[in-house]
Amino acid sequence: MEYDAVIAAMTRVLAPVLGESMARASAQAHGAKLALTNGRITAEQADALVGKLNSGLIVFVGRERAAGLAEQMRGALEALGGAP
Amino acid sequence: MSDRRPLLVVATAALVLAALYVGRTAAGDVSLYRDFLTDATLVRGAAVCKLALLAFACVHATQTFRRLEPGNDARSPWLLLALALGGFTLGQSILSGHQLVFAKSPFPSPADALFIAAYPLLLAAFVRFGRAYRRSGLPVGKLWQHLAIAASVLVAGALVAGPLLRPVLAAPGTRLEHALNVAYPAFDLALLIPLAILVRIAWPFRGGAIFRAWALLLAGTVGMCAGDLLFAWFSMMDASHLDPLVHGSYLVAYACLAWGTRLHRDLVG
Repeated sequence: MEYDAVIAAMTRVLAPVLGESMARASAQAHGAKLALTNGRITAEQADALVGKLNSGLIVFVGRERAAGLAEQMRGALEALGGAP
Repeated sequence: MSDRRPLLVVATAALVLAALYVGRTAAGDVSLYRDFLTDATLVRGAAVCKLALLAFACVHATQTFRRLEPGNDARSPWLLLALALGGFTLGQSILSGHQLVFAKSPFPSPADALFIAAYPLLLAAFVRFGRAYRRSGLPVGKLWQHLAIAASVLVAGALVAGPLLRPVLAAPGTRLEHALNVAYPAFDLALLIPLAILVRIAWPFRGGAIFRAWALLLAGTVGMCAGDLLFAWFSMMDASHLDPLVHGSYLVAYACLAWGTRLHRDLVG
């Protein structure tokens, strides 16, 4: 999967809750922490990124709602053709 | 049953009353306010709205606390916020009871003990929210940035504290009145520190549901601080004709708190 496409897909899912700017910044910040760089990333790496975002979201919206958002992010990744 | 409609009705009534209070200050002694919307009518309406809004805010904060799972870093600040709002609700119930019966706001009163007790809880809640959100891993600002904000607000607060409080202390009044009229603004100035940090945290969320909830919560707290400051000034400086502005500030503040806590509760599920 293209890294930029993954970030864009996650931003679309998270924007209604986090706002577009924070959604993109969070996805990119966690991507950087996982040493994901521009270019192609594997489905496992994308899933690790979902996991990182999920743990941050829990503090704001609780485990249940964060799990729902993580599920939506995985659905968006699947649509990109990269679900693990 | 959804509590959206009752909250909408009370919040709308509160905002209408706040607008009427502003009109009362601007228009002065005109027939509308002398014959129909008298001070007694307005203060009784405001008493009901303020109490209901604080009760809503307390219930919403408690529900958010209960919905967050044990171990969640934001759970304890939500509990502290719920307890603080509970203190404000109890204090307001004493005030509202008095206002409904006598159409007057007693000061000092036992309500002040509850309000004063609630402030440290509010302060602790906001400090812990900041810490919990910093730990989330989302880019909400680094510790040094938050410390720099805290230091700036502390310096600004120290600079304005003297000019703000000196006239209050110089005005005639009992020792208890002076103590309370210094304690409220002092707590408010202390609150501004975590409040400014939370504004920094919330700002990058603009456009999202988290921002809407926190913008209202923080606006409500700022409105409450403004109400306290206006009250301290007007009550000690014999400017009772400006009391409507105090009532208006609290009405808008409590409407924001009730709505913000409601939005956040809905966010959690």
